[in-house]
Amino acid sequence: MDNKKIIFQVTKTYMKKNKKRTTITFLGILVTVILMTAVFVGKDTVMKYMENAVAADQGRWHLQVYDVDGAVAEQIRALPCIDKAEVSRPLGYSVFAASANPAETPYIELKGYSGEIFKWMNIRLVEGRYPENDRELILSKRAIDEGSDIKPGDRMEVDAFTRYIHAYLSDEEKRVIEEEGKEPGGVMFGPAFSVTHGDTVKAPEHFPFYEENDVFEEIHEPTGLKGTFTVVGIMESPDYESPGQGGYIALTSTGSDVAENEKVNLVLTIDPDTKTDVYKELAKLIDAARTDEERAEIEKTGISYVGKDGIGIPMENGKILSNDMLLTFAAKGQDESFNFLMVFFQAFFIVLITAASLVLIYNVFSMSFKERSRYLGMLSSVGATGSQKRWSVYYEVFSLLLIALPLGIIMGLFVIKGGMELLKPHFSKIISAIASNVISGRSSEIEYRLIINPVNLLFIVMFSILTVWLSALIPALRISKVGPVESIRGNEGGAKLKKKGYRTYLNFMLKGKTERLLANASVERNTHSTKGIIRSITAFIALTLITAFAARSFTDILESKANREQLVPGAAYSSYPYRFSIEDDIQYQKGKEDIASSDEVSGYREMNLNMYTYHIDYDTYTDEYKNALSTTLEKFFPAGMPEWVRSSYMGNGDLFSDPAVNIITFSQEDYNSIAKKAGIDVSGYADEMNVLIYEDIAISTDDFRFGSDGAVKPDYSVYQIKRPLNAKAGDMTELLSYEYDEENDELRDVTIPVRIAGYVSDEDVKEFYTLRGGELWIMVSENTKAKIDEMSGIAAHGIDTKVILFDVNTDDSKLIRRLSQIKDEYGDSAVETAGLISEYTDFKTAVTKIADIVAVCFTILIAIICLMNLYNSVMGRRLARQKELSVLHSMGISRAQRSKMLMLENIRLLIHSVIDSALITAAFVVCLRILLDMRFGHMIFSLPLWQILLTLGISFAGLHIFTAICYREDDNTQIIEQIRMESV
Amino acid sequence: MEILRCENVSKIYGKGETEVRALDKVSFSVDKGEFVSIIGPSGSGKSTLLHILGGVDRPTEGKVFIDGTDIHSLSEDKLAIFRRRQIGLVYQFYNLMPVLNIDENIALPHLLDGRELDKERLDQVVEYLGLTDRRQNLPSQLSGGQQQRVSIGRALYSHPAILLADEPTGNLDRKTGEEIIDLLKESNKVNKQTLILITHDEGLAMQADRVICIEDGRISKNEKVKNIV
Repeated sequence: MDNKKIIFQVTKTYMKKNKKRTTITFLGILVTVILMTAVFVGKDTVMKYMENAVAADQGRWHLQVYDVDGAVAEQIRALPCIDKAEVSRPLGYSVFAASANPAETPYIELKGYSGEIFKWMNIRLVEGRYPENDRELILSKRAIDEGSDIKPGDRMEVDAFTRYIHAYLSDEEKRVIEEEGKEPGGVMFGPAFSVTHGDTVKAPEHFPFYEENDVFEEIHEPTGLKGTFTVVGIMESPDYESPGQGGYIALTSTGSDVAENEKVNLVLTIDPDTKTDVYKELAKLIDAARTDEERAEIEKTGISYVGKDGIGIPMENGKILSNDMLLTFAAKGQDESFNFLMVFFQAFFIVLITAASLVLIYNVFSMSFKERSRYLGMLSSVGATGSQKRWSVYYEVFSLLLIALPLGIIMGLFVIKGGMELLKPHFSKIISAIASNVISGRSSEIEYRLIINPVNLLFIVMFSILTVWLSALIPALRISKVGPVESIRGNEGGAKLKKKGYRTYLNFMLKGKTERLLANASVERNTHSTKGIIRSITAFIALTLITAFAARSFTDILESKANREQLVPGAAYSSYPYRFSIEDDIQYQKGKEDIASSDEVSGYREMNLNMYTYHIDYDTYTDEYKNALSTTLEKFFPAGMPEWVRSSYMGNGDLFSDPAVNIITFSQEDYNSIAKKAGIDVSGYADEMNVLIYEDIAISTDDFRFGSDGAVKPDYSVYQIKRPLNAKAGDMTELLSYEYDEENDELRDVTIPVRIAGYVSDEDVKEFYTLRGGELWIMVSENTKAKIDEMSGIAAHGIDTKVILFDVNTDDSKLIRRLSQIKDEYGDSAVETAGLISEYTDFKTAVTKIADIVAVCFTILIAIICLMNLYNSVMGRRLARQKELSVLHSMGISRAQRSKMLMLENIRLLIHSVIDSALITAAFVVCLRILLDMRFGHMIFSLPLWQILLTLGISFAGLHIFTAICYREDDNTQIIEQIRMESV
Repeated sequence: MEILRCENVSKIYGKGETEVRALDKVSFSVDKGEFVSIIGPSGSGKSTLLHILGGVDRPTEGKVFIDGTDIHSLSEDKLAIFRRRQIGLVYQFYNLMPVLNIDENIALPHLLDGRELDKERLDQVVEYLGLTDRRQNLPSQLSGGQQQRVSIGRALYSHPAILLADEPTGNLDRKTGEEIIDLLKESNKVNKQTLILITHDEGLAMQADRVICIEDGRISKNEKVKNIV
């Protein structure tokens, strides 16, 4: 083995002598390590923070299984994928003597929690302590808020019962049934619960209390739980408690054993390391415990859980509840696309860091190649081998890495900590806006901690070494090939010259454009230093844009996945503090008129949506839409799409096989403003029913679910379609629907012709809504909607949502008091505070916003490496041009001429770099696009326009500022020295 | 008629213990059209003096008058303009712009002055220097002699009043060196340009009208050649 000691010694001296260059190399390596730390530790830290945020909002449990008996509970506990299983035991209702609101809430609803469920369910005490045995309880603060004077230490008698509702069957009805053979009617208690006359049905959980009348009665069946309970604490109202329910929630401690014949809810956490589809394992166990009759009953509903293997297991709705977001952030979610994205982009960012670092270190060595080759050539002439010369480069980078590694990791941790501190208020704001439990400002209490584990540290060290080694490899190989004679002469490393010489810039000379002549000559003929600088700017633009594009793609996919079938209200709705809504149309219209005519109202706006009532003929859709739909459906059926699927979704003459459309109604003023923004003149269609069509549709695999005919659950994919309809602005199209003919009790086809005034983009409607989903969004004015309603009669299907958001100009509003008297069937008031209607309307949206922030931070860090590289190249070029500058000085170049020359050079360098980087970025983006399309379907990625402009601006400004710094006036001393010494 | 006058020019590098007095109260004058040689051992301050005379460097003390103008009282930009109009510099290591070809190098001071190229004059100079077939080459593609010719061409092209040559033959073989000196002398005679030549070579120095000897930054001798003989 070669003795490298002398090489190391000389390299060390060289490094000390060239402090500036050594510092730049060191900083490059340091930032690489910081970025590696940011990728590995930062990702885990943000994920853990989000996990904590979700846990604070929705609890720390992973899965809940309802109504399981002792045998099934035992089997579930025995599953290897289950970490902990606790019991939530419904213990029934009991009369609450201390209730201050007996007309609405006369009971307590008692539940027993075993073990850690209090913590998992975010049960927070206001005062007192948690129950420690089955004769202690804690009570919801709602009871106190409504006037009860109960407090910790008080005792209460409990005689628990199960509530049943019995609907009377009148003699007259009995007669009609018997004599006329008609079906009995029923009593509706809201949309989800009704009791047929003559039946007695167990009341569901959290059922409201209704005063008995001559239509129904409430029957109490004792559960056997009886005795004196001590109130040991008051808790904040749990998130599952609603103001309308008949009992205040009371929680006691219970054992985790489950008797054979009782039914409990199991609350589970799953093993952190499991790879099993836990949901499927649970579904299998539950299914195995069913009788054939039970299974047949469930199969009738057609609902099932379909695993990756495509096997469907019949499952009642809501039998298994999963804390999806928590599982997703803990990387245990059922949806693998999120985990795939995380890994994909982690790998992607590592590649980018490596690329940025590679360009920086390569440039540092390339710029100083001539100097290095001199001292290495000297060593070579006294017998240094290629390997020894190579090691001079390795020694330099690895000795710097040795210091940079611990320092970079520590600084990386501080960067993450600083970043989290900076971003935390933003995160909190987002979380507060969307979370149900942390809404009262507690989101700022969600703590983060840096997730540093040995595996991550190992990865950081490994990838840093690999990056630095790769970066030094090419310079090391080049240097090892330098022969002694060339290196002593210093001929190596320069660019090859054209033998025939260089055409004279006669044109510039004749026109006296000296600065242009000098700039052109310098850029075109001093290719060695020019290349370095072009490489740096290209790297800066390309890597920053690639990072920005990748980050944007990442958030686009997340957004597409998160906001599926969603309508997110925009800024137009964000400033109103009150909202009014009620299902009953007559009451709604009354309330609306009241709001519109009230002097107290300072402003109002209506959100009027109609979903799935109308359809547009399948044949009117473009091939792009049809192909996307067909490709998406085919993914569910690898063995071939069954005919019934084709005919159910792809037009068979039946209305429901034609794609549904959603209608948004705007006031005439808002409608006109959207049209104007889109450049559409709707005034020409004033006499017609005209509509605006939102141009984007995104069909995704999440839009469908199949559990038979060999259907599998495909990987998530989404197809974005730009022009869904084969109709242009000005064309007519038809809205199809069914009208319910009350008289004949039948459905009648309705066809409503409308004129397409034009297509609008997300930008045009952003102020009002962000729209997503697989259905077409159609926008109409109030007048048009009224005409459509008139033509369609009583719609047979679909969902109507009408909300009025408004503000009042007084603290004591009679209007608010009046509207508060309007109650729905649950007794909830029709008017309530609007809360935060902002762009962050749900947790998934919030996640994409946070991902966006993290991505921007990462882009900035990559940009920093590239800017350092640019500075280094400008400085390198400046040093390499010492002779040029000294000659120009002695020839009498003025400062203004020099500045102009440098600026012209910069423009030329920038043009070269922009062309190069555009090609590289385009190639990379196309590859990324192909990869993502392969995995996620066809996505229309938005162009990160502001990043492009910003990057170009920064490159030009950076180049200019660095030039000003590196060529500053006090360097004249060096120039004179150069002339004086007459050597370079 | 006096074209250049140097009054008590001193140049000091460094401070305190590291102070080096490169020039110490140097005074002399040169007449228009005169050919003056400056000789002296290495480190005596010859090149420093030349740079100060050429306005490339500034003296620590003293004044330099060219055509009656105290050139070091001028601003940087005015000095630069003065340099490109009045001074032609020829260096031992040629100091050509590495990225410009021969044509461009020769015309550089003229172009820097914002004047348009006189193509005829350029052709004339290139032909005079015998570089017609190499005019598109970069300096690094030329021999030392050829580079020095370009350097002289650059100094001659815009008819500067004073030619300052700092050991122009120091890096060349004897024959080429003689050719270069002939070119300079010819220019001195034909164009009536003042020529100040720094050299180690006493024989070469003796071809001048006058010789100034510098030792340790001071003028030790300043005499007409015929007197020395």
